[in-house]
Amino acid sequence: MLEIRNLHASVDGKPILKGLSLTINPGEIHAIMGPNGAGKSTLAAVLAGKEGYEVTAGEVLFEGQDLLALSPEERSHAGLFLAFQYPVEIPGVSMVQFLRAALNAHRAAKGEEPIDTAQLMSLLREKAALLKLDPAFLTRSVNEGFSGGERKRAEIFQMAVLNPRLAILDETDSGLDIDALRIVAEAVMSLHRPDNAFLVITHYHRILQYLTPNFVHILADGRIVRTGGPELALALEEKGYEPFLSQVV
Amino acid sequence: MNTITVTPLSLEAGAAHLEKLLRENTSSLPGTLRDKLAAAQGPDTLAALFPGESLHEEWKYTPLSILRTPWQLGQAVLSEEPSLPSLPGVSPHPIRPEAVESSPALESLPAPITPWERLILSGATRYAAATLPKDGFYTLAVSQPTPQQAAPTFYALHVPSGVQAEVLLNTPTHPEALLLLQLHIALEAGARLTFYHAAPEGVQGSVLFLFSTAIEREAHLSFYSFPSRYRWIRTESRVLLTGPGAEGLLYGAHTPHENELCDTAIRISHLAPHTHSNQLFRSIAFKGGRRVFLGRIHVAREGQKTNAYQSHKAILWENGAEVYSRPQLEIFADDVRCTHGVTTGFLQGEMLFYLRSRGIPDAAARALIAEGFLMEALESVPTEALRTYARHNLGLPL
Repeated sequence: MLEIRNLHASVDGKPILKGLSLTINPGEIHAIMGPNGAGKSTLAAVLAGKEGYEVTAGEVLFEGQDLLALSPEERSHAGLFLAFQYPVEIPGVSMVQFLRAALNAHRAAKGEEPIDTAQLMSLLREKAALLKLDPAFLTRSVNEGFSGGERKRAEIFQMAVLNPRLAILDETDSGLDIDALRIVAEAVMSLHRPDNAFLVITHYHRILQYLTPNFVHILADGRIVRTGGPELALALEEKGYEPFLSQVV
Repeated sequence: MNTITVTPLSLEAGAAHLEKLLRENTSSLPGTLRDKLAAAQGPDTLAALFPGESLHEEWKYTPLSILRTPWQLGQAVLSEEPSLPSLPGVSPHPIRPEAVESSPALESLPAPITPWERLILSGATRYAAATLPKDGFYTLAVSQPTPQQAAPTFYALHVPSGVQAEVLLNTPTHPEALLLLQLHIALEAGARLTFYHAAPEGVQGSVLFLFSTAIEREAHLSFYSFPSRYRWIRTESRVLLTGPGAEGLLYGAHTPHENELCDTAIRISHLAPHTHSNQLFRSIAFKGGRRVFLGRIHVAREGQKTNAYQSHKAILWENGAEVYSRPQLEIFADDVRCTHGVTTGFLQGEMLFYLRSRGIPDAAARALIAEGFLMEALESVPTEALRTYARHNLGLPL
């Protein structure tokens, strides 16, 4: 599904990713952990196509396509989704307007007719219930006045609505209390299918207790320096990064 | 036909011209306006017409060149037809303007303080007044369809006690014409008025719109200025909250494009206790467009327990756009709550990326951001058909 080969990327001329390679197959859940400044969010931004990130070497194939050649919206149409670490407010644009526009853009890309209002509202209510969001939230402006936890839940709600093939969750667990974390994680797991995959970027083991990754990767200084199973996350929780980083040559 | 030769509108020469105009146009005025006119003419000195730097300051960002055009003096067309597409679910009543002999509204007309108010009041080629007799939705068009002409027009509206009304004012103006409109609205105790100002599609000419209102005890005004395209428009609003519990709320969304100026100058005066005001404006200036916003809240010594708010947020959509915002507070009472805030900035790339990452193409994402931003100022429009009209006529070239 996703093939990252020797990816190098810079921000303002400063190299951040320095030869990152990663393969994600359908049905898999991957977790990326790493110290601050390792390049985790840069990886997410590069994959989603954010401006200001210059890819200096390497390639990324998504479903066989050159992902880096696509615009952010084309990447979304292809089935990529980024749950933002810091979702922005869009004043005056309701969640319903926003998701209608997004869904219709996806449908247009597939040559389908726009969704009708009844169908849209039914879908949105169903997915809002999954995240235990009050239906009134649909009429609120995107992320405006949302608490930190609401923003993260709203990200997963959007993921549920857009039904991507590959979702990147960029520190979705940060800022969530224990109950909200459980709701979010359970919703993510309920959306997991054999034909989709998740890339979970996190600092903490606790979300992985719910998501059970197939692979845990340690990202340090712009490269994946260690890959293991769920036990690696536990080991990190107990020992910290230092023992693992010191083994890297 | 008189000719307004507003040749060099440097302040001194402009003032001299205005004085001449005042003298020439006073003879044909209706008698009932004489008192107001006496005040309008004042001591006939340059100092009275241009009260020093304060006036100059208020025009600092607005080019006066439009007024230097040698306009012919003409007459505006008053009509109850709105010249706007039909609004589903709205059944408008016609407002039938009458030549002014007397109008209760004139009792509350504030003394003119700017040369423009004096010019229109004393030099108008049309004086009209109307009373809104009962609850309902009313429409009114003041149009200036003749090129090369300026049409000074004075209009007074009276909303009697207890009446709840909506008024849609439309000001179609020929692209090569100037409409000088002064509208005064008197709201008696307990009256409620929702007022909309709009224009037909397409770029209109130049408009100097002087709006004043006196709002009595427990009366309420909501004023919505819809986005419309003018080559040059300045809307000066003077809102007097004269009785306890009076409320004046002003909203507007504006989108000046290339070679267009949109200027809003507001002065809200809290003259009685327990009054409430709000100014909520959103603007997007496009390349070559200029937006000016001067918002003043004045709380008199009598205005204890005032609640007054002001917000003007503007986006510079692209390089070459201009926005000038200036909030002002003048508070002479000690138990009030007043807040103001103006912000001006560029479109946030973070917002755009967020929408695009959800699959929304760049142009549609920009349109969504712009629409949401502008509609913040108009979301409280009570009539759904007008809210929809506003949403579909935001003047976005996206």
